Amino acid sequence: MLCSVPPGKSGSNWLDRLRSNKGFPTTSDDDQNNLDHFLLSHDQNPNPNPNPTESTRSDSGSTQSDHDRLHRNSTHHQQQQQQQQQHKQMYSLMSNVLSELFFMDGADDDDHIQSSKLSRKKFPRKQTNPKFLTSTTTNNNNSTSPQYVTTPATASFDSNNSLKEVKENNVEEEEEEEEKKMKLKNNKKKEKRELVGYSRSEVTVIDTSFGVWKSEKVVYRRKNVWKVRNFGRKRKRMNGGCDDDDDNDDDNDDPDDDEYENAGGVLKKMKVLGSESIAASNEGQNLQNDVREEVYKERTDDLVQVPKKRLPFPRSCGKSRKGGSSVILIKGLPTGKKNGEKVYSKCHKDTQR
Amino acid sequence: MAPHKKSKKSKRELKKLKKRKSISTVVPPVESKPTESDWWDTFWRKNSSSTPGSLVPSDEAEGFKHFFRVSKNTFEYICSLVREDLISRPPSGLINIEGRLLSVEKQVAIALRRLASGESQVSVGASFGVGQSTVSQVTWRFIEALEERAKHHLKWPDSNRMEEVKSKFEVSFGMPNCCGAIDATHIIMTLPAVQTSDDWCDPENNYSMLLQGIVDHEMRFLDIVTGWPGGMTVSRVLKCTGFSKLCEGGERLNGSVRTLPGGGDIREFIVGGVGYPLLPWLITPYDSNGLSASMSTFNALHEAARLLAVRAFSRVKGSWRILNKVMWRPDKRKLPSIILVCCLLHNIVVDCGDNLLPDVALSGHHDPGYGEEYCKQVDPLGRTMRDNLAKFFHQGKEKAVSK
Repeated sequence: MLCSVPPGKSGSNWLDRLRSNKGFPTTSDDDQNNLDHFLLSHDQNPNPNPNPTESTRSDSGSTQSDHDRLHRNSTHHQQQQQQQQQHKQMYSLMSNVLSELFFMDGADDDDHIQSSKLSRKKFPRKQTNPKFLTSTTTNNNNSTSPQYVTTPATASFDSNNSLKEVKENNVEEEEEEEEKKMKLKNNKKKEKRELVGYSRSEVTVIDTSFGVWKSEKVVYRRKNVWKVRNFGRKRKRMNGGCDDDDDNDDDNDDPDDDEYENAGGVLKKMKVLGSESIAASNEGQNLQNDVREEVYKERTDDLVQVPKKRLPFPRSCGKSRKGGSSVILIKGLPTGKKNGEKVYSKCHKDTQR
Repeated sequence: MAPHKKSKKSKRELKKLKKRKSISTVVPPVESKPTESDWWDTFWRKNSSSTPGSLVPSDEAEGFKHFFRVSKNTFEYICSLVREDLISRPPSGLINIEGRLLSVEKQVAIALRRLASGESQVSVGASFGVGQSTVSQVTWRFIEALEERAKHHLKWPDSNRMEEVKSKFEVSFGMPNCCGAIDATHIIMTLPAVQTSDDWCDPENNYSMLLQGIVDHEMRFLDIVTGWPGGMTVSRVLKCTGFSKLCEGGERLNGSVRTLPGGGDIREFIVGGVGYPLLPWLITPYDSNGLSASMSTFNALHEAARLLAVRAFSRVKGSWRILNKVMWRPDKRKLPSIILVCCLLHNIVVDCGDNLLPDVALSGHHDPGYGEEYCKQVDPLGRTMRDNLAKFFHQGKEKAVSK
């Protein structure tokens, strides 16, 4: 929190360092006042008119009166407005600096969240439940449109990622995006529900009619009903493709999305008799031959299925990890097909030793 | 002084260094490790007479074809296609027992032999004097290289070429505006217990992957689709294909329409078996029950044209027997590439004009034991077109008889 860091108390050393690092003059009273003032003005007046379209939608008089009631000083508020214009540059600079040091509820949020000082103080370090914020944000805002209800929740959800830069985006656009995301999520959930009871197979399809011959698909099947979805290759490699949420957005525009019903039905008509039967005896041959391939597969599966947080290396690679630096480890991550193979071969050799 | 013992660690580091060197340098040092250029002599000596029961031709050129399915010239061509990829990535495994670097030719030979025979990696390795792991690596590298470098051997013909194909079909089978024949086959495999899924289980209770192909008059693949699980019917696979989507969108088989002398328009089409739906661009035969004379004539000509696709699959599975054997727990992500490369090799053989040895192609059906599925889906436009064709054939037959 901005207010929880009193500049005088928490030692001037860090502040001096901070200032000197960022090119501000240090330990000057004026400057300190300025900084206090800046922090105060920023905090007390989160955003007098955060939404450019708000004035058109809500009664401007009532909004103004809200602010007056909150700050109990309209003249001070007007000054702040002016100063905010003046210190906009400084604000963005400082908030960048501060956000690097502390968890702040997001410079981004200020642009589009109707949050009060109170709600900010309650803002948890980690957003366990974004909806909690939603209920508090309506305190100082008369306009209780659903957009405002949804936006802070999702925006605060995003705020963890918004520590680095201040963005001044159009709020409506963001809302639309959020709505789209929500819709997409809902669709996915729906789809997930629809696909309950379907078996799921990941397939690599080569189709020479397409520009890119090779593609990864997910096939869902329940009896004679087949559904085909595209599958993001990168995700698959990272997560093993076990989660339906990993399905990419391309589902929507994918013509493969059709439900392949048993059009016309299929009847067995006659047997094709071949002179050469499929030799079960060949299994023996291939057994020897493909043992290694099988091992390889299991190995690669290991690589793929390791949870995200762990380093995706089999234990056998531990030795090389000890010796090498972290840079080498990162280099060894199977980012591509060939790289993955190399990693495997390396690891495999380690085990053989 | 006692000899200095090299620690394991330092040895490892040395190896790493060597590896890095080998990766950084494009061409390995030839003086210290000469490449094998006499691989064929060694191979021929070793394998031409080793197995008394085998039908290895005594002639060396024929023998070459017997082992690798291609003539020496075609072999050289294939080497030229993949040379860059196989040379520029010399991994640790590409050294034979004597410590000599494997030449591109030997690598290609190993890969071709593995694909052609479907024999175990161990036995293929033994015939070349390399280890099983080398066979595995070399084969996969070859597959990766060829599927990129030989793409031009598998493409849908341009309009000029298509006119040629159509005219050949007309000459051979009397089919006007016929652009190809379609068929599908199962590539059978076993799956590990954890991966066993009914999706891959086909109607004959085998785990399999489907391969569908459209061939021209020379049995050259013009279009293939593979990777779909064997549990799917061919009609469903067709629906999933890009070819179907292109046709439905009017972007394929959209050439000039032929008007038959007796009346009726015939657009460009392909012929397929009863497992496929009857569509304006995919003509299937009449149901065998209650056939009229014209229907019988049509079915006979249709079947003759369609057999091109059947024979093409027999050739592919016969030439590249890895596809005809039960694959032991293959990596399902890699298997489509193996299948594709076999089809590419098939097309290269056709394009290079190599004649296959008579015993190479499968003598029977490419999908023995499989019941033919029957798709009931009928498009009215397709039906009209089929009737027009049947009428046309019948009239032609009557004319020929009257003469």
